[in-house]
Amino acid sequence: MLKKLGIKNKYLGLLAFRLPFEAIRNLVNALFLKLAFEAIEAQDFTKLGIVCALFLAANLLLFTYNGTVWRFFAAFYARLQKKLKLYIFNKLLAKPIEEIDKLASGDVLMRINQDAQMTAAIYGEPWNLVFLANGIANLALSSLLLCFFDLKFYLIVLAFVIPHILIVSWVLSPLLRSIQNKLQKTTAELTDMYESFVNMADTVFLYDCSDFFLKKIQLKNQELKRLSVKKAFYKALEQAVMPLFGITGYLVLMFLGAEKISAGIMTLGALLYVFQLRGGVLMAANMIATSITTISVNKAGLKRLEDL
Amino acid sequence: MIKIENLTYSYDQKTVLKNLNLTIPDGEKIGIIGESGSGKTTLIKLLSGLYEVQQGKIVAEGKISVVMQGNQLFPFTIRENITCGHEIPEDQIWEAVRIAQLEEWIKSLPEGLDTFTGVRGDNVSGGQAQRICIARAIARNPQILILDEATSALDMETSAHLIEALQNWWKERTVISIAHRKEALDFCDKIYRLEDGVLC
Repeated sequence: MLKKLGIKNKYLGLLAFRLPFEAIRNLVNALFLKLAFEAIEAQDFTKLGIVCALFLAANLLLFTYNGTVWRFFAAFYARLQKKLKLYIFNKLLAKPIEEIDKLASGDVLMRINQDAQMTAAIYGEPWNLVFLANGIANLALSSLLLCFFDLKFYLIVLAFVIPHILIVSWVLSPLLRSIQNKLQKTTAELTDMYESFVNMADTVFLYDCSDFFLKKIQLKNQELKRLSVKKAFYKALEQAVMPLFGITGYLVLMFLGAEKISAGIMTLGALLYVFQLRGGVLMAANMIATSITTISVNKAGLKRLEDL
Repeated sequence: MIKIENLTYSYDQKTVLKNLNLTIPDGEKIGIIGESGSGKTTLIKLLSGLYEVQQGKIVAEGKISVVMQGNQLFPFTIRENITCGHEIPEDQIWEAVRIAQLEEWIKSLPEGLDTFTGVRGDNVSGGQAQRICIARAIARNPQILILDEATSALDMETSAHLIEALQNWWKERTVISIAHRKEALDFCDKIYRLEDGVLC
């Protein structure tokens, strides 16, 4: 789509600028924890002061850099939305009048507003393409550093991250998507029932079917309630999986680290460095999984635009 | 029999029907034509009891079915649209479906009578929606049938088939049909023109 709009290269440039932020921030945090706690263990307060000052400067630079890139992204996003709406208008105007007549006015408005919004979101909003690219960069750097530091630690992290991601993306996310679709359909049907009941009150009265109508509305409401409860249950499961795998993995690493520290082959700072890199892997995996899910939802809008 | 005596009806300080008098014997088919805003729909709403009579009198003996203009389809299945939740024997439903020229189409649907008509009736065409409304009116087995532009969404051929099928069914019943054009009322025994609230 960006190629059609003539802004592909500009987008790729912005994406490249935004790409290293999470990975570098994670590395800065990990190094800070390692060096700061090593300084505390060695009671070297001059080193601790220098580490803290460097950490502050690095964060200031990083957030200034990130804010500047997001500012350009925001401008790009606004331009993208404008270009998309113009693209839809031109596409619609180029259609034969018979085809336009076939489209309901609601359908046209939905395409202009919702589909343009969904397509723009893929390229410009958080938890979409930008976060996917950031997640991949973060995962690559954190994995690499952890592997080099201690392969055993890295494998333990993976042993807890992979099942978590698989359960969320293969089991819970499809269930949630399906329930969300059913919820939308049922809500539309219920709204239509209410509208029909009001708009066709004459016919309802003439055919003496208000009780029947209200019974149908009641049943549809119950269906909606059942679906909402189901959605809340899956959401709760999704939220329970995270701490379950997260805390267990954390404890395993902590015991292993404690063993190494007591054997004198590891410092507390190094263990915290590992924890920070583990956090980077977890965050990156979460960013990748969530972004893939969001992109797959928003792709429906992009597909409708491309079919136009 | 339907008897309308000295019927006058106003709203918003405007007199829509002026001193209307009309007697329709059992089994008679009458047509009413008139421009938009001439009071046709108001007359139907008074006859069917949707509006309360302000001045004059209306006597209508027997059950009345009305097919209103526009899409009056409920967001239910075809069967539920026809029965409106009332107990109606299966053969009576199919009889109504046959007369409304829907049999072939419904039999071609995988779920037949239990097909959902869609949100805002978007699973059926305008003509099919109108014929389902006609089937609903027939299935109720009324003595009086009121049609308000009931075949406006049908093509000439379907409309002709429908009227032909209705001829037999409504032999003994009273029919009041409202239309913009006189040609749509060929089957009527008498045609009245409603002009500025006056029948002529």
